[in-house]
Amino acid sequence: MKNVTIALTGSGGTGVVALGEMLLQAAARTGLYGILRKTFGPQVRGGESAAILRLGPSPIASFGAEVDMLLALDWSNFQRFADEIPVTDRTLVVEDAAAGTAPAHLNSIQTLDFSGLAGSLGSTHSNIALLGYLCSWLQCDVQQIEHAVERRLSKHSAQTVDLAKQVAQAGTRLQTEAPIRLQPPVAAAGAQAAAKAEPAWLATGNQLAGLGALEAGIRFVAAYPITPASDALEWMAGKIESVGGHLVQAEDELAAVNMAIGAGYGGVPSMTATSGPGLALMSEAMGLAVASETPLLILNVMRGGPSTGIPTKSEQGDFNLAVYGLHGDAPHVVMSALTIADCHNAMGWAAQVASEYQTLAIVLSDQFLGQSMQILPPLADSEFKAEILPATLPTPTGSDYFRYLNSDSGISPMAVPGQSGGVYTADGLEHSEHAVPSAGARDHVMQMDKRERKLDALVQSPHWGECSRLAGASVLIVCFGSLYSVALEAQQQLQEKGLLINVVGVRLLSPPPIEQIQHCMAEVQQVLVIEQNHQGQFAHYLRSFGLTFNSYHRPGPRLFTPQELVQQVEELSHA
Amino acid sequence: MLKAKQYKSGVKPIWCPGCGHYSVLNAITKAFSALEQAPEDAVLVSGIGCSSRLPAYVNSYGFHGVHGRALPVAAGLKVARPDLNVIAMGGDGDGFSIGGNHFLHACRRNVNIVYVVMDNEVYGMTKGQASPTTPEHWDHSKLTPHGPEVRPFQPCAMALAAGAGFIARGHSGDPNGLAQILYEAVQHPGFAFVQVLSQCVTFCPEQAAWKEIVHLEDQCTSDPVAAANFLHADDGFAKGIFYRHPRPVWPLDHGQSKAAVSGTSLGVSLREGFTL
Repeated sequence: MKNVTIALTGSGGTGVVALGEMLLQAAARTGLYGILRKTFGPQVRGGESAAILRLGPSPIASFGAEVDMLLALDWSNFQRFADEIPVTDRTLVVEDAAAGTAPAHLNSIQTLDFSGLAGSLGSTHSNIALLGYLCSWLQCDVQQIEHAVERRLSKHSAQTVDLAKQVAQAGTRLQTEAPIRLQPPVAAAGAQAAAKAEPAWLATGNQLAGLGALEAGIRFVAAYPITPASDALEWMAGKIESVGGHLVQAEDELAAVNMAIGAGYGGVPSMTATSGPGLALMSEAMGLAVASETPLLILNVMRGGPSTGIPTKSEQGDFNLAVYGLHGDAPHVVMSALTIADCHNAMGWAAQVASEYQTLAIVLSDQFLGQSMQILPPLADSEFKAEILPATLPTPTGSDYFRYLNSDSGISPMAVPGQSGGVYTADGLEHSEHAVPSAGARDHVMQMDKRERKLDALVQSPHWGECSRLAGASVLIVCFGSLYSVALEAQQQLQEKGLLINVVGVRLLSPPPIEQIQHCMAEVQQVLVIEQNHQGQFAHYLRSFGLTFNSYHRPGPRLFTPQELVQQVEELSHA
Repeated sequence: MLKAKQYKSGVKPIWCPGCGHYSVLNAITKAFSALEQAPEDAVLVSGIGCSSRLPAYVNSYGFHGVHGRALPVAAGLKVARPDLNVIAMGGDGDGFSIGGNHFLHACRRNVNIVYVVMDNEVYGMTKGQASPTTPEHWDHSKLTPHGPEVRPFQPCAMALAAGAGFIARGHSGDPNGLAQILYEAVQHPGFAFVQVLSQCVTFCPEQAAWKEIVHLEDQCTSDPVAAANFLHADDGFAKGIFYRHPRPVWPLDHGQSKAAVSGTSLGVSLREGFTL
C-alpha cells in the first residue's frame, strides 16, 4: 500500500506546523502511521515554515524523493526551502486564495478559499479550515478531528476551541465541493480498532531522548538553550521534578557541562544536551570528565555546520568533534541514535554506560530525529539503569582506598561524598592510584592504560548496532544515526527490484565495534558507507582501522532519500 | 570533634614559602574544626591556579577541575547533593577573568555554597602575569610591559550588583579573622562570597606591605544601598563582613518529591503525553 507525502507551507504564524501536528494526530486515530518533519527558516516569527507529512498503513521513519501534494497557505517565502520540498509534475498543488503569488514554475494550481471560509465564521485560522479539508480526505470522523483540535488548543478558552471546531467542520464540507484528486492513504484492516485498543504514541526524538534519560535514572540536567536541542531540555524540565531531580538553566555551555560533572561527581546521574557549537564549547570539560573519571552524559543534536551554520536543519557533521574533539588522549564513548524511537534506547544505554564506566558518553542525534514527530507503537520499558550512588554505601577504608586503582577491568571503586573512608580529591591533573596529583611517567602511563582498557568490554555489547539482513545479499550499507531508516527503506525498494542488500546501523561509534562491522562486511561483495556530511568523516574513521569500502557522503540540509541510496547501490553493483 | 590540624590531608603543598595561601588553608581547617565539620560531608571545589591546589591539602572530599569552572561544578554538586557542605575556591584569574561569567551568575542564582577567592592580583602558576585585580600600572609582567592599563575589577562591588547575599573580605595575615568569616559564610543560607587578600611573595613582594594597610571595618549591613556606598568608597583593603541579606535559595521547593529516586517503577507519569 502506497504512502502519501503532503507538504504544508506558510510563513511562520500561519500555523502550518500546528496544522501538521493536528493532522498527524487525527491520522493516527484512524489507524494510519506517519511522520512529520518541520522545517523552519532562521526567523523566530514571520519567516518561512513548512510541515511535511508522510502517511501510510505501516510505521514510517523516512521521507521519499518527492511530495504528492503541496498545500500553500502563504507563498511569500516558499523559494527559500523549495530545495527541500521536491515538487514534480506529478505533485498536486493547492493554494489558499490569500496565499499570494505562486512561484512561476508551478502550474495547474487549484485555488481554494480556506482563509475566506475561516473568515466567514469570524476566525483568522485558515490552517484549521485546511485541517478539516485534509481530515475529511483521510476519512477521519468528526470525533477524530475534534480530538486533534482539542488536544492542540487545550490551553485556550472553550470559545476558541468551539470556533476552531466549526472552522474545521466547514473545511470538511469543502472536501465534498472540491475533492482532492489523489488517492488517500488507507489504514490496514483492523488498524483503527487496534489503535483504539492500544493507542499509538506521538513523539519526537528529542522528547524520547529525554524520556530515555530520565527512565534510565538521570536526575540532574544542566541546560543552555540551543537549536535544535532545546526541546529535549524543555521536555525534561517539565518532568524531572516529578522524580526528585533538578534541571538548572546555566549561563553558558561551559557552565552547563561543568554543572553536570559536579552532579556526576556527587553520584547523581547527570547530563546536558546541546548542538555543535555548544559541544565545541564543552570539549575542555569533556576531557575533565574523562581524566577525573566522572560519569557524564551529553546529548548532541546535530545541525548544519560549521559555526552557526544552519541551526534549524539536519546534518551529521559533528562526528569528528564527538570522536576526536577532546584534548590529550581521552578515551570516551560516542553513540548514535538510529531512529526516533532509538533516541530513547540510545540515551538509556549511554546513561548506564557513563555511570558504569565512570566516563563521558556522547549520544549523537540530529535535527531530523530530534524534531520530527512520529506515530509509533508504545515503547517498551527501558532495560538500562544508571543508579544514584548512595552516600550510605559501605565506605571504602581510609588510607587503603585507591580511587584510581589500577584494576584488571580498568574500572576503579568510586566513592561519593558522604562516605567516610573514601575522602579523595577528584582531579583533572594526572594522578596516582591514590588520587594524589602526579606528573610522574609511571602514573601517567598506568592511568592512560587504565582509562583506555576500561572501555574494552563495551565493544562486546550486543547493543553495538542493528543489522537488517536478507539471505543472499550482495551489498552492505553501513551508516549511523538518522540515515539508518532511509537505508532500510532503500533495502526494501531494492528487494522489490530483485537486488538484495544488508543494512547495518552503528550505534556504538567509539570505541568502534570493528570486528562486528568486519563480520557484516565479510558476508557481501560490496560495501557502501553513507553519511550526511561533506568530508566523509565516518568513512575516514572506519578506514583508519583498515576497513576498505566505497563511501557516499554529501552535506545536508537536504535529507537523504531512499531513491538516492537505491541509485548509489545500483551504480555500485553494476560497476 | 576534630582539631584544625586533623583537617590537613598530609599532601605537601606546592606553594612557595611565605605564600598567603598557607594561611587560608589554616583558616579553612580552623573553621571546619569550629563547625565540627564531618570531613566526608564537605567538598572543596576548585579551578586552576596556585590557590586551586588547596582541596588536595584538606581532609575532605575535593574536586580539582578545569580553569575558571569551579563555580558551576560546585553549583551542580550542591543542587544534586544538598546534604553536602560545598565550598568553591580559586584565585583572582580563575574567578574573575576566565570564570567571570560564572561569578556573576552564581551571585544571581544563589545556590547555597561558599566561594572563596584567594586574590593576590597576579597569575602565579604561569609565572606572574597581570590578573583582573592587578593595579593599572603594575609593569612587572613581560606580557604587559606598560602595566595592564586596565581598571582593576572590583569583586565585592560586582558581587553586590549581581545579587550575592553575603559579601566579605579577609586577609591571609589574619587567619583567625578569616576563619571567623568562613564560619559565618558557611552558615549563611545562599551564595556567600569571600574575597581573601592573599599575598604572592614571589611575583608581588610589595604585597608584604598589605599587613600594614588592611583595616577592619565593622560595617556589616543588610541594606544594599548602604553596602554599595561603602564598597564604592572602599580602598580595597577593608576587611570584615560587609553585607548580609538572605534571599530565597535556589532551587526553590515546588513540592516535588524531596529526594531523587532511581528506577522505572517511579509511580509517576513520565510517559504521559505521548499516548494519543
